[in-house]
Amino acid sequence: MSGHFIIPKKYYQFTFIALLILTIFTVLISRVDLGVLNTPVAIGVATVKAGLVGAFFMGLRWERANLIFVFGAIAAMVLFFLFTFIDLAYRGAITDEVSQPYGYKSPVKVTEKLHHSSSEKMDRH
Amino acid sequence: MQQIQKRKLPHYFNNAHQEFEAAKLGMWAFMAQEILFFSGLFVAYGVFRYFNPEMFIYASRLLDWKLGFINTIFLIISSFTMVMSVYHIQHNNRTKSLVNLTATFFLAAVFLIIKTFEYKAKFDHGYYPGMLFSGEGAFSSLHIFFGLYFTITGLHALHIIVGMVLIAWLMVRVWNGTVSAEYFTPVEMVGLYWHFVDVVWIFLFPLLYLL
Amino acid sequence: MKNFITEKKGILSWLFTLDHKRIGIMYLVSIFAAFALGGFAALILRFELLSPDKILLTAKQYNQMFTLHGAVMVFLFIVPSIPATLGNFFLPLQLGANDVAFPRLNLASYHIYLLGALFCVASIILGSVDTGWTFYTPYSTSTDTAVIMMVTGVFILGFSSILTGVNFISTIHYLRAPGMTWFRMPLFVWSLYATSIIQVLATPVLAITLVLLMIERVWGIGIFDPAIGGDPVLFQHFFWFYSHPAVYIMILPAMGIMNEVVTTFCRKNIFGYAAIAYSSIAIAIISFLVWGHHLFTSESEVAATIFSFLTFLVAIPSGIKVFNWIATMYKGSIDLKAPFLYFLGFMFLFVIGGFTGIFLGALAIDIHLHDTYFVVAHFHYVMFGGTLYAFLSGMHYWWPKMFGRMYSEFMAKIAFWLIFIGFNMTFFVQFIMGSKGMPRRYYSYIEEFQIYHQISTVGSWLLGVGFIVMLVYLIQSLRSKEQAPDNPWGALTLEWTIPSPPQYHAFEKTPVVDKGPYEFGVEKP
Repeated sequence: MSGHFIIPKKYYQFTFIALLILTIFTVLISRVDLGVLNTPVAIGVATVKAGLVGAFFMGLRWERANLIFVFGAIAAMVLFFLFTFIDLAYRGAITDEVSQPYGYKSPVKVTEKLHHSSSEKMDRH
Repeated sequence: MQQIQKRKLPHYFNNAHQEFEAAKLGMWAFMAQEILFFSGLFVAYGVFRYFNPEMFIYASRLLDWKLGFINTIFLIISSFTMVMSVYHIQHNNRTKSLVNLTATFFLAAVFLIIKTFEYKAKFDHGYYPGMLFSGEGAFSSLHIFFGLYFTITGLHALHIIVGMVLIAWLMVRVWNGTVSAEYFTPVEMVGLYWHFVDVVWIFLFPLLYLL
Repeated sequence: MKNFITEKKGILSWLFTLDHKRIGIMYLVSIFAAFALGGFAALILRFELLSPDKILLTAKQYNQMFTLHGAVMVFLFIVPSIPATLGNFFLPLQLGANDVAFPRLNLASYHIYLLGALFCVASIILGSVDTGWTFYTPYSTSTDTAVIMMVTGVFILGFSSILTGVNFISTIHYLRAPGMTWFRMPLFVWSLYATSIIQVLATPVLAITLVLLMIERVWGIGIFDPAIGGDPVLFQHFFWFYSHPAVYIMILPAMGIMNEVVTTFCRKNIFGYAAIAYSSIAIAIISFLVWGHHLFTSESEVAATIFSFLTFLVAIPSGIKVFNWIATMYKGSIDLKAPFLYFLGFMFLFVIGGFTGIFLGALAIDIHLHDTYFVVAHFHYVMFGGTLYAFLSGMHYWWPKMFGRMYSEFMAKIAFWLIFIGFNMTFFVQFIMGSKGMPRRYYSYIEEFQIYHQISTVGSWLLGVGFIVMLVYLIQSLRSKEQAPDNPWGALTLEWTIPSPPQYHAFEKTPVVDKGPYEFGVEKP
């Protein structure tokens, strides 16, 4: 296929090393309790990693039309999250709502009452 | 290794470049489809995490993050060997391409083997999916986490298996010379698919094991 | 001269063909078989409703029958209807291409469709499903009928739809004839492009929803079933994230056909080409923003209010299209042939269907009308009066091109009027009965609704007769020896420049395009 653009090797090597470093970073940072920032940092690092894979391994850095499709798909996914959570966040905002339905049955053998006790049990460490 | 075989352009294409671009767009449209397929699982994860935040923190510590970490590293290496395979076939170095494909295949297999041991360890504690769940835990909703865990990682593993079949098919094609620097569309397409599987795992690892 | 039908002989040469035209014809046959099955179920349902007491079916059989009707009509008939048949056949021809971008994928999508259909039909034998086509939890996880079988079938059908979408996107991007810029494409192609985007982006969510439903039913992982900690409203979100955009998968290609028909039979260039093209894309985008209006009574009030507002946005691009078609007709030289009659029928019925949609989108009114026959009438006006009318219009329009035979115009007009009167008789009374409070999907009803049900049932018989008449004259046309002209309507798009029926290799010389698709009267001095 003459005239076809071939991505230089150095981009692949750089991406590979960056991915390894970020993976170790995300594990290390998860050992530290950042409070409310735990989730955003973890997802942020994952997004950067996914972006690196997309941009270089998948060659999106050199694409136009295909990039639009990817962003379209991501936009649809964001909408999916957004609207579902608008519903969840405001459930019971006006009318009362029972927290657990009648006849609830769980297969789990509950050992300790963690979720009713103090907040220190909520901590990750 | 067999001789490179000349490929005939299908009658409805004008040139090889047009065919390659069309195939790539088709593959990206398929990737968009895959993104939305997994988005359903991520939304489900988000919703139940929102309902049971403490349970999810408790449950994620029941998983072995070391195994998850090793698997992440293996998948990233396999993604790298995959791009190197594409790179070498573009430079018409079929031997190196084949070596890289084989490496990718075996890394995927190792991923699945480690995953099997992980599942086994969970089953030993009675952490089966859904109503089969017979383990102990601090939360009555713990079975939901494991239900989601097995569903999401199971569907991801299914994608890995499909990817392995595709890579095996590519190995045959590189060997018999039906793909080469002249026509490497199948390698590139499977590569895109494989990176997507990797990207999904990149998100699953922190969500399931670390948070 | 051999055409694509006489090119090769034998059933296998059809089943394993890579020719988009043959695949289109096979889809046409399969889809009409599905339509016959769904239609037959509908006739039985209407017959049962003649009286509030039992006539033919028990209450459970009634539930199974309306599920069969809904699932077959939605998943086997109307979602693949126009894109897979007329789209498959005419999309490459309108672009001046000799095939779609991935012919093998195209054939695979047909085989997947057959496999999915097989699962759906098998579920009828193994205790047909009684959940309604929406498979709402927790009933679908607890009923003793063959939910898994049916859901597997629908899951498989989804992939057929996705592959068609992927194929069309690549075809439209890369197989346009030289000179055919984006804004010289026929508007049918634009609408198929918008449809394909929805197919690719929405259908996978249905797939994952159904997978989760199956897992929930088999293992009970606690996602959708409230008794084990799940959230049934989450299922509704998941389901309608696909199924609302799916409504536009159904109506967008129909609107595309209307553009072709209105220009050809008014002999006028389309009014506002770019506006119509962009409105197709706008509908595709808005379709992802409004799914919550199916959940007005189950989701939170805040979400319902937002969704209600967003729902009204759909009226804008739809309105643009309708007004542009009327403007195209203005001072046109109108030829009242069968395809154009269906176009007029479409306009009349789609506008009624669209306006009643505005009622249902208004939050307060919807609480009253929710789950009544008003909703049933509304979506039948849009789906039947909109999509099916456009499909019939397109089928009559392209029939001579597909088969090289012309049907009887007189018989076509008789069938049109039978279907038109029958349709309105069946469904208009359902608006009245619904607004008076008759709930949908009920086996029995109170005395005062009987007269409406009886009118509706008689209307359904007229509809049935209309379709039988159509079947007869269409088959008759295939048996006739008379060859149809290459361009019986004097249309200008590329598919009319080649012989009827087209040869296997449709364009011997790649056409070069130097003007828009509907420039009537431009060539005259």
